[in-house]
Amino acid sequence: MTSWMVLFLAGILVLVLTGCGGNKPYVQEFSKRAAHDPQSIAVLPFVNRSGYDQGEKIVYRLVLGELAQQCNWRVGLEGDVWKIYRQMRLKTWEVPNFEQLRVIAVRLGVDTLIVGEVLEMDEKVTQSGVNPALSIQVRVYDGKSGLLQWSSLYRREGGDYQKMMHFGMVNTVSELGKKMVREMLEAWKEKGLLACAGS
Amino acid sequence: MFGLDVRGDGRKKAPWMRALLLFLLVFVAEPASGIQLAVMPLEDLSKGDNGLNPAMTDRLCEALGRKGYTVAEEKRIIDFMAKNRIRWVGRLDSHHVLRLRQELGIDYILLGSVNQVREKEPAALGLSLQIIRASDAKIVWAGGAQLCRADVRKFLGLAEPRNLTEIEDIVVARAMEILPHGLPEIPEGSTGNLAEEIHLTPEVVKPGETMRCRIRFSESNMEQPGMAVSVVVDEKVVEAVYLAQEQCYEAAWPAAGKDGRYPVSVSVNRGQPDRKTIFAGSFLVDGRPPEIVLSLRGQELDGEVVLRRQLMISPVLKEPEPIATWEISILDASGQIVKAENGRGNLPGRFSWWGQRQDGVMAEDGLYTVQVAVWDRAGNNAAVSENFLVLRKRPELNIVTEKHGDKVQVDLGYDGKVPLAFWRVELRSGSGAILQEASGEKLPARLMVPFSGESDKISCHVHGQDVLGNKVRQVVDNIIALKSREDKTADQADEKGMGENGWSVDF
Repeated sequence: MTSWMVLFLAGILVLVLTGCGGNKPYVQEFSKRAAHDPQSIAVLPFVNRSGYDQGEKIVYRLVLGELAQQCNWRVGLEGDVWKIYRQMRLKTWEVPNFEQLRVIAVRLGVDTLIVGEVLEMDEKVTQSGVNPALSIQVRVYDGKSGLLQWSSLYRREGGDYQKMMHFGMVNTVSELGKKMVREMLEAWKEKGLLACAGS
Repeated sequence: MFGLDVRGDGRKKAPWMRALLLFLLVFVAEPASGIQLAVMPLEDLSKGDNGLNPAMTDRLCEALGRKGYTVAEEKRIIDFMAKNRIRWVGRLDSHHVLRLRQELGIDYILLGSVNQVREKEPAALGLSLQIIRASDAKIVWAGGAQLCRADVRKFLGLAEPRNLTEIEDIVVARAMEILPHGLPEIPEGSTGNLAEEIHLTPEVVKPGETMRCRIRFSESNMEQPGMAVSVVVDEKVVEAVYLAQEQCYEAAWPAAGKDGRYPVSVSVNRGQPDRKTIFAGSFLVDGRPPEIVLSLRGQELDGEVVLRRQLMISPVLKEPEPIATWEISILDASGQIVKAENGRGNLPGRFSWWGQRQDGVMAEDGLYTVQVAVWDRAGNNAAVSENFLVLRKRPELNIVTEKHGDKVQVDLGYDGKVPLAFWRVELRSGSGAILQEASGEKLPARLMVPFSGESDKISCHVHGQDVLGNKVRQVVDNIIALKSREDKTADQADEKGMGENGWSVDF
């Protein structure tokens, strides 16, 4: 009887732990952090693999906005990034190679680059409201070497933020994206990857 | 904080009055009107790539005006956009930002986009905003506001937004709440990028060909006396010259003779302590033409590729490399092009030809050549060709009859180039009954069938196929009425004589 009890409790523990594990952005580090402290950052055009019209621009603007809000770094203008893409004849739906990343970083005068993909973006209308879903992958590159530093994969749904009844429920992809990007930046800060203070 | 223009009247104020004034300044006063804010038309992502939302822009301008900001006149902004050919309002570059300051005296720019508009229930709206400081093109603030009707649930539905217009009002009001009351002060010096544009052309070059690097500086970094710009390639320094007409520096040099990738840096010297070097990219020297092999897949006859229905042509590069242009041509035996196609970019993995000429007519049987030519990014050319046969004509069997008493002798022969895979013959009476049948793989063959008289009717049905798959289907309604071998020989001799001695008439 006692062993059944232990097994039952262990099962509950596993369920609780795995449930909590999914609520945080997955962060994977690839290369050593640059010796210098980054001071400026640019977000390169996101790739949209979700099929949601303009999904890449929505997430791009949210990432840009949150970076400008949370970091006192210089954040490259979207117009400057597009101008360099045009000059270098790069396709916005392709990730530049490491040499192109270096050139972009030098030309924008930034030391860190963010490249991302929108893997899933959807809004399901239900009886109780709307349940948006968003899955994004964001990769951070060192501008000097063009090397991948860390990457994050994160998926959430509007219902994940529900506290009680309709309270806390997120009903738009914009709100969901904003929350997710904020949590992702917080996770990076917690791990000591993003050394920036609020502006 | 905004620089507020507080005019003193010279008279001394009571301490309580000063305290009240200070309170008003800190907690009540809105931003001063001295700072010019340009509100760019809001991009509307729900309307596609070039979508704009003038209604939301107007609401935002009104709200900003009420908040105390001095918003630049809309017409001036639109004129500026037209003059500078700004097509996408969501993506102003630093050059345009600095120009806005120079031409219109703008201090801050508000860029925004309506990220999401949902008119269906539950209606929703999402807005992203950013404020850019015009003096150094830096984003000094960013934020957003969004609302869905489902977010607002109130007792008995009281004061809930009823439609999208009311949601727009709430979103604009929320945006105004989060907008900063004081924007950072404008710094003195410009911290813009050193070079605005660097063009390194071409990307791939043959040995000895000319490489060019053009460097354009932003207006604050324009040509200055004593400024020297040079390009460093393979540890060699190439001085750049200033092209006044094009307002840029240009360095030109012959590419190295050895194949490989060469990094290029731009060095800007404004005096000994102020020397900067920036990585400009790299170029590839390629003097070796691509090696290409061609494989044809169709049917085979005596070791030769034959097209009967379709020919698959697969050109493969021995060492894969990007291709700039390619051309494929099919030539007939006289060297005339019967079909050709060309394209830019990498070679398609496989071509298939169904035997149609350029004009849509099916190509005749005979010997053909397929030729594939490619040019790599440096312009090195390589070509390869292979021969093949087009054999699509239906094989035809010779049927000769000869009467021997009460029997008819039927001789089947074949003198085509492509061997037969099989054949089958049926001799049927007038009523359709099979009198005799035979089949085999090789010809000639002989059949004997009885007949009762000239009024009798015997039909001959021949089926078969050659080794390529071309089908034989011949029907002779009455073989008794066919000319015998002797008659045929005599007719042929007559025709020959006419050809040699008489007139021939074209109908």
